[in-house]
Amino acid sequence: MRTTMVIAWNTFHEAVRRRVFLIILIFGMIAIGNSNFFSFMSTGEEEKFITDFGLGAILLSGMLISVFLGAYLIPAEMERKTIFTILAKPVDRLHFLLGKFFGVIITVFVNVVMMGAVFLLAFYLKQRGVDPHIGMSLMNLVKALVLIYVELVVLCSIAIAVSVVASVAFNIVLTMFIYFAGHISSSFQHLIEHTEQSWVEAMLRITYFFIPKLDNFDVRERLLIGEPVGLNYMIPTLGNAAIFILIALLLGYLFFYDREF
Amino acid sequence: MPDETPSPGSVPSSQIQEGLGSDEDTILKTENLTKEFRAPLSSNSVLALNKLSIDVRRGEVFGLVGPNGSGKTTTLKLLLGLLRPTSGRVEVFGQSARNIGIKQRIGFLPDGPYFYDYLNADELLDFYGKLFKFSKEERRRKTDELLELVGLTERRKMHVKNYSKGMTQRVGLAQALLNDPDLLFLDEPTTGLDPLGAIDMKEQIVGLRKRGKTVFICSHLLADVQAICDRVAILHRGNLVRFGKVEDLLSDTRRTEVVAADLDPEAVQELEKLTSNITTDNGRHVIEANTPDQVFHIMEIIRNSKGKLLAVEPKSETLEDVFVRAIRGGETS
Repeated sequence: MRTTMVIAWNTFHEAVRRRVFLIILIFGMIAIGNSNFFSFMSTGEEEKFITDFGLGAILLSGMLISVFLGAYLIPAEMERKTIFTILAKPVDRLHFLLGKFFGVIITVFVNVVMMGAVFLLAFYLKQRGVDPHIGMSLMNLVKALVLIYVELVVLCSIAIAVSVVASVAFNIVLTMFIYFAGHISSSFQHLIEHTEQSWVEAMLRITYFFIPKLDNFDVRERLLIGEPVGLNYMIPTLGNAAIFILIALLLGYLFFYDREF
Repeated sequence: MPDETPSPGSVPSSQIQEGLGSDEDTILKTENLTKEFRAPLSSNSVLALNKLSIDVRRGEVFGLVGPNGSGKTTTLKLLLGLLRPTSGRVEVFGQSARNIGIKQRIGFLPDGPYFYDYLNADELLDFYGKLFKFSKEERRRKTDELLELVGLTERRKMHVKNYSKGMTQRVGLAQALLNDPDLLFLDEPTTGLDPLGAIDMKEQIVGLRKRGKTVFICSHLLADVQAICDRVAILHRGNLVRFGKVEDLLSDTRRTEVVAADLDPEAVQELEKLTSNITTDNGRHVIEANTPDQVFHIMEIIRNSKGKLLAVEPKSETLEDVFVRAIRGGETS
């Protein structure tokens, strides 16, 4: 575990030094911080706008960081041959893979925490004195942020696992596809029922079976209609995510174990 | 599938067996080590290494030499467990090369090393020290000692990305020595260094041997290998074409140059029948002999033709001569 954390910490240091991380983070924070200004455009629905815009911006920026870092870091180690000096040391390949994974999810965590803090502050400043249950509203938003973070960890696990065997470009396209398909997974049942072509139905069924149901992590609609995000919703969703992450990392390790350099 | 028949130019197995030391002396051994690269979804394959059988003994400096594409780096990667053999065996300290435990006793300097460029030398050695689970005090002490050893103490706070090639090579050596390894793998350690840097690196390697360390060098710089290695293996197109002590390989091929002048054409013809290695310049003939008998015979021809014998010079061959002959032999046979 110690070796894993050494690699994770080094990966985090490498990631935050990348300009793309800082650009996404700063741009996202400025956008969320100014969401009060944008809300002039929506009449009387400031709370909904800030919630929708803020959580959407955090999810989008986190997705970009997760996908790009997850897809890039291990191939970069191979290309620059830095992996040779690491694996020539007493470092198990599992520890290396987990170290890279934890390094990326720590980076994403920092991103979600910083953007989330700006978002919650913006929400509080706008709703104090207006929302009589502001404490409850903020707690629901924190739960929404936790779910967003877990969704991003799922994406990281996929990108890291695929990065062991595929090119960066293919990995980015595939993980993006999984992200978008995962966000409309609830529509798949409807599509399957209404399609007339058997091969299309088969493709949809296979895709539906394998993709993570990422729309379960997006609770913006629930929040907008005032439905609380209770533990009875959180626990099974987080449990499913944990199983998916474990499977993705296990597959990644199986590929990485036999990977030649 | 790899070719099962002995390949042209490869060393007979009897000669390889002569190279094997006793078990307690041998810390690295390969037996019929073969690596074939197959393209995915294709029947095409490249045989990068063919039945390599070598051993490396405790306390020696061992050189693996060969032209580009001869299989040196493939061999090194197999020894480090970065590649899996297609067939054959590799043992380091009596264990599989993939065994994590043996990595505690190994150091590795890659060819043209690249390190995390956002770190300085201090941070880099500290990072690698953590991978060996050294305490903070140990990491501090080892970093100080090694940076002093490689002459980077004053540049320790400079980012590695700003280092020259020689400095990068030196910090690479420092990270390879961090765990005070029993066996050190150096891939092209002097390539790209200026003459002083190369001398410095060679002195470091000789110093390591004096401390009882075993050093395995991959290089195509034959003069360097000849100067510091005890034994060498020459690879060509994945085949082992020579293997043994440096002095044995050189003495096997010792030559003598006989220089003469004023030879009549009949004498020159007679010499040409004896040896093909004759060069003539301004009436001065340089005749190359491979055996003492040949030298005697050449001198007799010169005396009979009333020519002038100018010099008889034993020419000690370099590893480069052995290398070129081994490679050409491999190509023509």
